Amino acid sequence: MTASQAGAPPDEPGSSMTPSYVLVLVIEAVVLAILYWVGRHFA
Amino acid sequence: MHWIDWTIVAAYLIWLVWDGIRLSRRTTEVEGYFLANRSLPWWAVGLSVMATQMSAITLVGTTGQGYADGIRFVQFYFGLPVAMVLLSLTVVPFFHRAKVYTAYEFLERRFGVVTRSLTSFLFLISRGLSCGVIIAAPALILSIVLEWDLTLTVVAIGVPTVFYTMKGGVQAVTWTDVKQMAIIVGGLVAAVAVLIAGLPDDVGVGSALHVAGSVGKLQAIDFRFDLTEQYTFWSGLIGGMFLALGYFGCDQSQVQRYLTARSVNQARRSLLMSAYWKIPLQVLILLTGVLVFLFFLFRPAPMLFNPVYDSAVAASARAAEYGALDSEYTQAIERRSVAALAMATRRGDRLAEAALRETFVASDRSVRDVRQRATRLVQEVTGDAGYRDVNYVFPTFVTEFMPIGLVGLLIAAIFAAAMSSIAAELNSLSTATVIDFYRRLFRPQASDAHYLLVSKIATGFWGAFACLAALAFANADSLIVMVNRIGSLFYGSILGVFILALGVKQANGTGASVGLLAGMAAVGAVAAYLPDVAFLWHNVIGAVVVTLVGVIGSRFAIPGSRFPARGGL
Repeated sequence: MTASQAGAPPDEPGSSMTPSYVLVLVIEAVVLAILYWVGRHFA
Repeated sequence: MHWIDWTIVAAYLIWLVWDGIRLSRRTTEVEGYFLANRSLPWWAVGLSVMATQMSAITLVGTTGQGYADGIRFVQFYFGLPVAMVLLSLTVVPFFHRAKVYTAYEFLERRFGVVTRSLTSFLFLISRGLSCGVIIAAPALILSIVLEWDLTLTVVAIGVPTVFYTMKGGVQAVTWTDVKQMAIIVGGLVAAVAVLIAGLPDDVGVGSALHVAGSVGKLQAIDFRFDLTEQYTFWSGLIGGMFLALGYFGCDQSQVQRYLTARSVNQARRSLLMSAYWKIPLQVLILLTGVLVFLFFLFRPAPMLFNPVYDSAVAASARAAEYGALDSEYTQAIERRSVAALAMATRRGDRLAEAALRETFVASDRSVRDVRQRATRLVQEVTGDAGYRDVNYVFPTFVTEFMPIGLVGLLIAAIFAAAMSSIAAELNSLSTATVIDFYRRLFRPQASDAHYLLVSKIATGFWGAFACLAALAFANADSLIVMVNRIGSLFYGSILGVFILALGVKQANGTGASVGLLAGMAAVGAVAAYLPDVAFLWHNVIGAVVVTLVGVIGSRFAIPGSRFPARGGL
């Protein structure tokens, strides 16, 4: 199987997922920060 | 249970079966049965992914974990969002492009039939047995709390699930998962409302959370790097990421969910739904457990939440010892209750606060100490060495303290959590059996109608296997532990094979097969000789060993050997 046969298909036109990936990581960072704050605030 | 609650549970089970039959009309060929003709919307697939991951063990065990240890278990999921992004960038487009039914089918194109058969076989063994555990664990707890016969409970969970999965295939699995997720979240929200309403009039939610926080129940993050500590920020982020990569990227029970999506980006969005919502959902479940802890601070809680073991120990030769513990416990919880109330109602007075906090922390330590000794006594008297009383806390709260109607909803939610996981696993076990073995090795040229019939028979077979395994496991705790350990041998190692397939151009079938065996051996050796290493790290060890041995093995593979590479990616 060659790279072109097995490789990923091109992304669907006009629908880049990059903003979604960045948003996932940003939201995770915010959630972890909130959990850290909760732990300290209610300790 | 009140007859209204029985009616709600019965109505839920009847509705599920009816819905499964209704959805089966959409399924007339194999691709529809296993992949819904790759036509499902991302949000339905995403909810199905989440429902599959959340079993009844999660719902009952995790609330118990929140009750006992607070919310720190949430660290287990810290690597999941990162894993979902990595999977969206890597395996999701490859699987969709390859138009496969199973993840292991993809491996054959890369490494040959041996690697495909080996990984698929490992999946069948580990998932088949774990499906039994997924039925057994809640069945045992529900049978004790609801005073049902164990076999009847297994049948009540297993038979409707097998029926609608067999009839409707993945369409029935996905759409019932969507509705089951609504029941589970609705049930949890109702439980939280009842728990908050159950706090004493003069204790606000904020004050109550300060009380819980004083004994570390809201301490979510532990930054220590300690390989022997089960849940830390690092084990969750790194080990949890490898576990999530293995589970969502290489386990057919999850891969099959997003193979049903309409397009690559719809499949990606379905995975990202878990990336956004999994940690908040787990926090909700763990917080429910913390609220149960607060609920029982202000009213008498039993020393043991399992009434069957409570009676057994009270009637045993060590009844006097148990009675003495019970008296000690009664005094300890009275002291703790007074201390908790004083701490919650005197907030703002800094000097008094510090002293009251100290009193409460000491009284809570006493209660924990007595409960630990009682649990040890139970383990010695009953011989159930793995007994965890915290698994009975949430079901006891539901059946004894929730209002009529909501008891039925919560019991239905526990059923829903079990059934949604079982259905997806049966569906994927059937797919791997038919696609990776029956069609590939035994009957490659049969008609679509023939494969559809065999697929339904395979679903029924795995359902019967899981129910029988559940009955066997329910009375053998060590078997459950063994099954979980066997499963943990595989995840990281199978992930390593996929890393070789997707990321190492020169890897070949020989290297992958040798690497897989070496990875499982390495994880087995670590589990046997370094038992203190937290199991989340097993996934990292398995994946790394398979990748390294696979690369070296591929380099030294004899050209033209039995499992040649089929070319790089």
